[in-house]
Amino acid sequence: MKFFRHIFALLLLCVAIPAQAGHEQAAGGERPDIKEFLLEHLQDSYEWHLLTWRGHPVAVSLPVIIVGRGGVELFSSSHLTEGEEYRGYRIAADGDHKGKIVRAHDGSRPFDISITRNVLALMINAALMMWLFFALRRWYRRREMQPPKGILGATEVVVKMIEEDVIVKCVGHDYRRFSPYLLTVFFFILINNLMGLIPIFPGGANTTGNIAVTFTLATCTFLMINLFGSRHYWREIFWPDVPLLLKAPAPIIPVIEFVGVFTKPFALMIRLFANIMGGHAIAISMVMLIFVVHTTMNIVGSSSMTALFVIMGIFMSFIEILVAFIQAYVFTMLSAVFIGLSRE
Amino acid sequence: MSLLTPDIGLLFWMAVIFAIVLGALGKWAFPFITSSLRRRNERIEESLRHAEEVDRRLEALAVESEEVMRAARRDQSQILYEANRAAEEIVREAREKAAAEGARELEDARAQIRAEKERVIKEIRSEVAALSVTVAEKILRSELDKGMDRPFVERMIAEAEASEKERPV
Repeated sequence: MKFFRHIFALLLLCVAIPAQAGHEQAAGGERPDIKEFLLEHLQDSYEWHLLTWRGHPVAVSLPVIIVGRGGVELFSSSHLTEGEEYRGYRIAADGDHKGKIVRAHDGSRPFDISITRNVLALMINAALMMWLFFALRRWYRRREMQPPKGILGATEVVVKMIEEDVIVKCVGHDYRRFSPYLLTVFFFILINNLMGLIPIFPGGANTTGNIAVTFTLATCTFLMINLFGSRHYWREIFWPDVPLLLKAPAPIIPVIEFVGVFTKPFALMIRLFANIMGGHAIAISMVMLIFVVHTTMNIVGSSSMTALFVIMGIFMSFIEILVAFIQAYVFTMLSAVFIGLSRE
Repeated sequence: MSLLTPDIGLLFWMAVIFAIVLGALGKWAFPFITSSLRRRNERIEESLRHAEEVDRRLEALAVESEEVMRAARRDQSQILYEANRAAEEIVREAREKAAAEGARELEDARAQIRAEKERVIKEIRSEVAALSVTVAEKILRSELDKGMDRPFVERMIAEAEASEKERPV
């Protein structure tokens, strides 16, 4: 029961913190710019906005790193707040590169490898993941035959489940070669998904809902599928077992198969990105609705609607926890299936 | 559309971070963890099998001991029965022997008694004969003295001889 109370408190926090942020905006008198607020959260940024205190944003400025012809430039993003220009760079207020650092004179993008919010979140999540699994490894090194308790025990159960139910069944006989990769992918996605659901500092970044992150993961799976593909796999693509007319004069099926080589990881990329991004969007929208209603309805109606949206927000948070796991599972399972197919 | 265009900087860092995570965990953590899990699984399976084996062996042992017990019990009753019989035999033999001995001794005693009796009878008879001879002598002497006739004496002697012959010895 205590456990559920903790979860409930956490979920309430999930709703309450963005609510507070929205309230600060609404307090300004004008209607909150929902789209702006939503995109601001879903996209990357050069600072980590923690909260707004008495109308002033409290944010951690992150380092900007730009690799140019003159070498590496490193400075704090606090120099660039509110459209200021610094060392010939500014954050674009509109245009194609809206919200990104551009050269002040012509608005083009430099090679920008700043430690943004998502990068920092990825680093924190990666550190968390490394800590978790090295702790588990240390446990096994010390007392192999004793099952661990607590978070390590929970991790062990999930590792076992993924290994036995997904990797062994989908990859087949030489699963041991691919199991480290697939387990890494699964837990990387899962930890990033779950951390994204926590609204306060180390969490809350929309990492797996960012196309660059899912693109990297999908590329790794693409490499795993194609670098270790068997002869049979390549034959199925370029000379499949279909009537000759479908492949001889005009290679219809081979072309389709060849496109399929790229669409499989592409689908993985889009699926994970869209699900997580959508989840974040819904969670924020639920909270934003409170303020939309607040500015348009009378106080009685708005308080009952507020209660409704809080309940719906909590409900969505539960669903997002489920989605966080399911998406990690689906990505891993499909990767395993594709690898298994290419190894036949 | 900026949501759908991957940012180069994030792509770069994601590749670096993921490579580090994959390299470290894929090399040191996950193979170790999965092989540990596998070993533990095998160990558990083996232990279960072993326990089953031990159980089965114990059961067999129980059956065997039961068998031994039953055999022992059977042997015991057999031995008891035989001992009983032997005891009975011994007693019977002893009794028989005793009876035979008794009979023999009785017989011996009887024979001795008979012999003694005969000897006594003989003795008595010879005594009686001597006595009667003495009596006869005395009578004869007196009779003769009185002048008894000769023919009477001779008849008397003849009669005595005759009766001596009739009597079984």
